[in-house]
Amino acid sequence: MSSSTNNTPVPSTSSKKSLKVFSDDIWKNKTAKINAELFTLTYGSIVSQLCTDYERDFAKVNNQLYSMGYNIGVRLIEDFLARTALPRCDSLARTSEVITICAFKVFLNVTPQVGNWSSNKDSFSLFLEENPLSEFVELPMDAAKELWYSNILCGVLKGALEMVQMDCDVWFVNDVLKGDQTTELRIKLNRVLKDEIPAGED
Amino acid sequence: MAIQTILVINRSGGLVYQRDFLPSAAKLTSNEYLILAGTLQGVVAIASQIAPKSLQISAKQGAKTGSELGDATQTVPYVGSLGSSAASAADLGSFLGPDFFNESFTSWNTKGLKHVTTDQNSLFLYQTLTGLKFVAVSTQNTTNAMAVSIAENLLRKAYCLYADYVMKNPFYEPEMPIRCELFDKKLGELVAQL
Amino acid sequence: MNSEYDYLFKLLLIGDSGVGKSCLLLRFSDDTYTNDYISTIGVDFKIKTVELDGKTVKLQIWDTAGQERFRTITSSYYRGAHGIIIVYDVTDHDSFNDVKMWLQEIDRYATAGVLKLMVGNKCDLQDKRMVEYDVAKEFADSLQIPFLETSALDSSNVEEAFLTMAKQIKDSMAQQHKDSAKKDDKANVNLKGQSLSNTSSGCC
Repeated sequence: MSSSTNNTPVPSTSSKKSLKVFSDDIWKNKTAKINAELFTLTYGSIVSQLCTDYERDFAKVNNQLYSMGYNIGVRLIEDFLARTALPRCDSLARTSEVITICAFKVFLNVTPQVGNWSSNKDSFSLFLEENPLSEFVELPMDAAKELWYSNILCGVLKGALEMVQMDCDVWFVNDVLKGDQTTELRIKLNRVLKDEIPAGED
Repeated sequence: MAIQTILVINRSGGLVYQRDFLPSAAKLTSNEYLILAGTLQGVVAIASQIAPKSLQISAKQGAKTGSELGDATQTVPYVGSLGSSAASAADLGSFLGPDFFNESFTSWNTKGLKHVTTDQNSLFLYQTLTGLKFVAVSTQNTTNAMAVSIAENLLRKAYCLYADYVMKNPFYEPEMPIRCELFDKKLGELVAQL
Repeated sequence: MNSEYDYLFKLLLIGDSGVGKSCLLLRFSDDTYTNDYISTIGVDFKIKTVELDGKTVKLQIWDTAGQERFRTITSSYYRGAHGIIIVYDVTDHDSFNDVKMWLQEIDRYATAGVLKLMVGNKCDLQDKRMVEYDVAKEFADSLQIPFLETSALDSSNVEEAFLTMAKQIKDSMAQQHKDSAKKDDKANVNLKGQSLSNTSSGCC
């Protein structure tokens, strides 16, 4: 991770494959599941309630979803680590793989595509071809401009990455709900919080 | 191996959970346990500074030949289900049962303190990537590698219970003392399995 | 056993060696605990149990005495501290000058927004005083850090300072809850108008 800026994000296919097998096994055999409709409806009712509560001030709704996500992320990371016991990523490219192939798989049963690496390799995009949060959603006219419906995901990633000592910015760039071609979420690594890496690790 | 005490220490060295499992054992006061936790925090840091280079290198080599997922980290062998199968298989919450692990797993703690033996007790320490420490004190003074593996397996399971019954409890305040009855109960079942 | 305390706050005591950090603490804490062995590995602990708003709070004070040679592991002591007390000796101007250096350490290692307190110790030694109260006070004010002078002879000041700090920490935690509670309040108000506004919110 610390050397992320030097490493080219060209992952070895074998490690990627074994990560996939490993993640699929956790998803299939070792994870309790709930009904997807219930999950989607629950999230939908939260967002719609927030829109009402904030009097359709969608910037505030975005913020609130983000901070709710953050609070989830700082907790959920413990579940993820307990479940997987994956080692610390040695590059941001590896981090992108673990997030997409493992984390999104285990928690949402989807695998976003990674792309749009910045030239200095400190940021990348996740393209969500499927988004379980918004499967049945159509944004109302007034919300289509400002509301990032799935903004909670940004908060979750931010919180989780921070707990493994990576200070990142996470935000939505595009969302098919708004008429964009893709749903694209961007992650930018600001710095690795070296001083906070627990003693005893390399 | 009888577990005398289990501790959970937060990222900043504060004791957030302490539980004795043997009523007969000599008890420390809560302040003494707090000091033990803070001291461990410092000792782990010091140990990581003075760990011999040769140990660190061999740890890395071990990982290279070992797990396919492992990068520069050590792995802990899976030791089978803990205790006799007759004991009711404590369920691991959302982790679906005692067979959650059936392979070796990564130890994040590559050069910090893992194990302390005195003439009366052994202390085992499992550290997470987020900096939490799970500590078990047993009544045996063992230096046996198997015992260390068993302890690490046990503590990883304790970590699973923590992820479920502490972190997913919306009313638990992160970094503060753990008061979750479900966690108490599940941890008790886990230790009773041994 | 676990129910003995509701909150655990980590306070850190820093400052040049010899300014009397340990003395100060000894005065303050009634649950005194000293252990020579522990201080040799770079940190000593004192624990004070206080009651705040009906909650039992343990203040665990990390006394980083004589830690020059443990500099490499300093960060693990700063991590997650709720409050930091910087101590200097009013009879030793160097120790006051070094406060700046200690503040830099805090910026580097501690959580942003950690509560700080500056303490000038040994103020009973008036004839040897090198750092004037006004000078220190002005310095502290410019950084918006609370400041007080104390001596081992008079711990009341210190006790007050620690308790104030504990209360501030507790309040800042409660504040976070209140912030979310406020939103809830607002939500409750809006809930009454739900049937009206809900018609325009399109989801589901």
